[in-house]
Amino acid sequence: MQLHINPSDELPIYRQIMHQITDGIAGGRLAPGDQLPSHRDLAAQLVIAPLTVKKAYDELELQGLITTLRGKGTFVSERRPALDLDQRRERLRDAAQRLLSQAALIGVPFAEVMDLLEQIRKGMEQ
Amino acid sequence: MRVLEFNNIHRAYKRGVDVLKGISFSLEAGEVVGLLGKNGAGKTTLVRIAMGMIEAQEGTVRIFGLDPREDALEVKRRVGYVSEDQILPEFLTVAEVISLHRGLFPTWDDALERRLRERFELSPKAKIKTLSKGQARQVALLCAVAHRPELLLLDEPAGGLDPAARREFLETSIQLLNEAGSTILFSSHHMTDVERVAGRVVMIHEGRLLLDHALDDLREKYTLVLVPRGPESRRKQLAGLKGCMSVRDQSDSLHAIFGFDPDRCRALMERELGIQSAYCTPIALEDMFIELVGGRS
Amino acid sequence: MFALLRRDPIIGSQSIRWGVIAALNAGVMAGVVTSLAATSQALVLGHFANLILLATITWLNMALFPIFGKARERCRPLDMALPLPAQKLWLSHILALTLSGLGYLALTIGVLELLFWAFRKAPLAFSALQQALADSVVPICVCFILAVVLLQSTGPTLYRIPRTRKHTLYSIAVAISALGLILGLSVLPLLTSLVPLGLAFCLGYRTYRSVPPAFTLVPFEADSVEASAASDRVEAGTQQFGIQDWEQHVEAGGTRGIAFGWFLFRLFYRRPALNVFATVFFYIVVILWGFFLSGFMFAWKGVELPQFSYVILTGYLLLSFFPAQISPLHLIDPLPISRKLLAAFLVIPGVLWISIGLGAGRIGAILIQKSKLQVKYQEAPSGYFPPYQTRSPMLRVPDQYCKIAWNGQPPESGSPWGESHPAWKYPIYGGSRIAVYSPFSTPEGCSPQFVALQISRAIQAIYGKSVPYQEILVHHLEVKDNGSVDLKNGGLPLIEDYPDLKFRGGIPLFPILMLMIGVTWLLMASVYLRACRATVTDYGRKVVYFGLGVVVVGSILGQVAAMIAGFARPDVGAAFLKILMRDISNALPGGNLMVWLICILLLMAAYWPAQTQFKRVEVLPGRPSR
Repeated sequence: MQLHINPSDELPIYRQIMHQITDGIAGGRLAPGDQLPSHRDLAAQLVIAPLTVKKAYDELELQGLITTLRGKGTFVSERRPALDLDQRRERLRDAAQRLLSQAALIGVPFAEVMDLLEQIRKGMEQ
Repeated sequence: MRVLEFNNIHRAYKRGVDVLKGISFSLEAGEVVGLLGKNGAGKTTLVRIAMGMIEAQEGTVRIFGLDPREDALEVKRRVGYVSEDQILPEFLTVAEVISLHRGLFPTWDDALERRLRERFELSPKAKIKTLSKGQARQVALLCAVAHRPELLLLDEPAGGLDPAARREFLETSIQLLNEAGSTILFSSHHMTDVERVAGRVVMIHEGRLLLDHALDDLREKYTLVLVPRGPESRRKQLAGLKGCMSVRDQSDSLHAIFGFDPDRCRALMERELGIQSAYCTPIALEDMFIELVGGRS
Repeated sequence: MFALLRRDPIIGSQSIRWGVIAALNAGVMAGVVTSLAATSQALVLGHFANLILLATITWLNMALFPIFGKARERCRPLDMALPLPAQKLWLSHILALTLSGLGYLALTIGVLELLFWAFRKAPLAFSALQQALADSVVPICVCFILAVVLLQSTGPTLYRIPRTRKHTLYSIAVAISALGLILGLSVLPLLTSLVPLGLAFCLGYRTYRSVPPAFTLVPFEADSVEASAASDRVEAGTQQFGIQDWEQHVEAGGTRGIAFGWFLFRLFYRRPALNVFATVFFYIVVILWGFFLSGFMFAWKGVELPQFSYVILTGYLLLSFFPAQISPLHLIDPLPISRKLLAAFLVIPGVLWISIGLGAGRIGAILIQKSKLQVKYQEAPSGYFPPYQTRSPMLRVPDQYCKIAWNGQPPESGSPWGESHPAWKYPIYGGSRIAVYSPFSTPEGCSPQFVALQISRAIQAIYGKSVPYQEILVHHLEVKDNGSVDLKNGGLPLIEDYPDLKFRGGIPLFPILMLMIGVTWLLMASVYLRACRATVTDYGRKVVYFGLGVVVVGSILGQVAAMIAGFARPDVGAAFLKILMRDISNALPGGNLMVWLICILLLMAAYWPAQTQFKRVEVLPGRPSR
């Protein structure tokens, strides 16, 4: 899948990469076992520093989403990380908090937020 | 191993007019550091001191642990240098310039040279003085990069180039990073270029080090806060708050930078100044530059 | 119009520099003429010769001015955007050039008039030069104006005359023919100068009319030579090339060794701003100057030119080209090229060029000295200044065979038959006890036998051969009608009689002069290089450069003043030094060879500060604003 980054975005570049790869895995565009481009290739492709790519890959590897096999390359992990449901929920708490705070601030009712989530979920599955 | 180390560098050109007042920072191997600052802040002087072209009046500079004035030859053999105002001898042809560099650098990589030559589409017999600015800069870049330098010093290398040429410059630098793992120190005014490639950012203002931060941290940890002007005391109050990095007047509002994330800032504004829903947003590098450096006396 | 003149690129940058050069040149001329006059050789240098000397030196400096440098630019490119008619700009440029050149001339005349006034008590000294000046002033002015108009008439539509080979050759042709015209007009009546003046005005007017309302950057015909020279940037993008093209340019290992030396040569010695002709011209001047200092002219024709007095000037001559020469240093500063190598490359050649001229001159002088008898008996020509107004006839030997009387009391020269005369002596400076004296003096009133005795003694001292004085008296002296005595045929028959006369007395002038010149040059270079730092402004550097020039001019004018005041004589001072040199080189083990060795070692020692300063030079391409 095609990655792209916006250097001026408020999100650091490595996070943008992480998000896109994560979204890709979540949405099924990246299947377990798919090979990701190497640091150098991705750096050359996106015109960013290879260290940035490495940072993103390292973080994803830490989260267990991807694995690097020596001499072979970087691949999407075969299976999901072994975390229990509580830990996984904790991961999402911050993001959920932010989403709901923002919704409250700008005045979007909870029901609308649920609708929005439903929409996005449908889009990811396609 | 520290590739480049500045230690309390002082330099003045005229008596009493200091260009650099105690600059200290260093680069580890493989880092890419962006050097930012207004024109006249001392960036070029700093790079020239690193190259040994100028002496520091106080303080020390070490490249690969060597003094660039004492061991000039060895340092220059392992360093690549491209500058906006560095011109190659005009009367030489492109082939002669490349040949000259090939003879001077023992670590010259012929294959890399050929690839760059072909990519830049350089014509061997053209005299330097007939090349456009972009083409001449490409030749300079080729000569600086083809010997796989351990350290690449770029002083506004893309100054005056069109966006396509700038992008090519970046691509070549990244190619070098990929192939040789070089360390790069580059100064530029194009923030998008810096945001793309730099892992760390060093900002110099009026000869002093204002900022030395990892770029990702900057984006995650600093917030731009906009509040209405209000009474005179507000400015002082704002500046006095813990975590405030700078305050700037902008017609009818005050711009301030804080070292917290936006939510905390909003809460802080409400608590300390009684301002509801102050505008707090993560700050892009260009805005950070302007806030910290622009218009400040 | 005045405002326009002030803005012209010529005014300002050039005025001070040319002013100093004017003073220098006048000083040189004065020094040459003075020393010639002092030994009354000026009579040999007749009116026409004075004229040539004056005209050439003056003209050469004035002519370089409108040919090279900023003279080509009629206006700055920025001026073309202003609502100024090009005709006005052209006219103001011509006026600026003319005024600058005439200003230089006025300055030179001023210095010379100052000297004439200083010498007013000895009117004969400079009379020939004065006359030459009076004759040539108007022709020089007129021809300068004509040359300026001629040179500025090419390509009247352009804002800047393109630097093509054709134009350079044309400029040089104009300069040379103008010199010839000056010389010609100087001997013709004054009114003939009006002809070229009128010519200049006509041509100028014609060009003025043909200047369009506005200058252009590039001529209309796109493919003319001028066009490509005028437009500095040509897109090279469409050049077709292929791998084969590159392959032939790829050398194994790159530029090394001799090719690298050639590159350095092209970088530093090829001065596009001044054109290769000026560079070659400069080096020819340097070689000729070395030749001029070598004493060849004295050996050959008896023309005594200053040697030691002009050592400092020689150092400055080499320095004059130095700033322009090291200016391309910033182009290769980031490259791993050893500064020591560059220092050697830039500092040493000047000395080599001088040594070529000096060496050739010395060799020539020595060869000539060997073929002539070094003892000359001659009427002492009366010099123009009090110190030189000795009227007694003299036996002239090479200076180093005179002696020094440290207590000022030289022994009288005696003879077997009791005749004795005081030795000719002269204090080395006014009021000093130390005097140079000639043990072979033949003052007025001495008998021909005494003369023969002194000649015999001289030959003994110089050649180590004993020639009895009676033989000289009988065979080689001739007594003229007025009672004066002379060696027959300049002493040639004597040489024939004694073919094994070997001149032993050469002092190692070459290494000593080279040492003096070399040390002066190296020290001046060190001082100048010390100013080549980023902390020193361009203005500061200029101050150093011209300051050194002022020191040099001061030294020469000081010597001239000392001579006028009767305080010192350069030839006596030179003789003193030569005697010392001979004594030292005789006293040293290894003699001349040791002197050579010591001079070389001292030169190498003097090179060290220059090299050190060069290593610390900080060159910047532009203002250090970042």
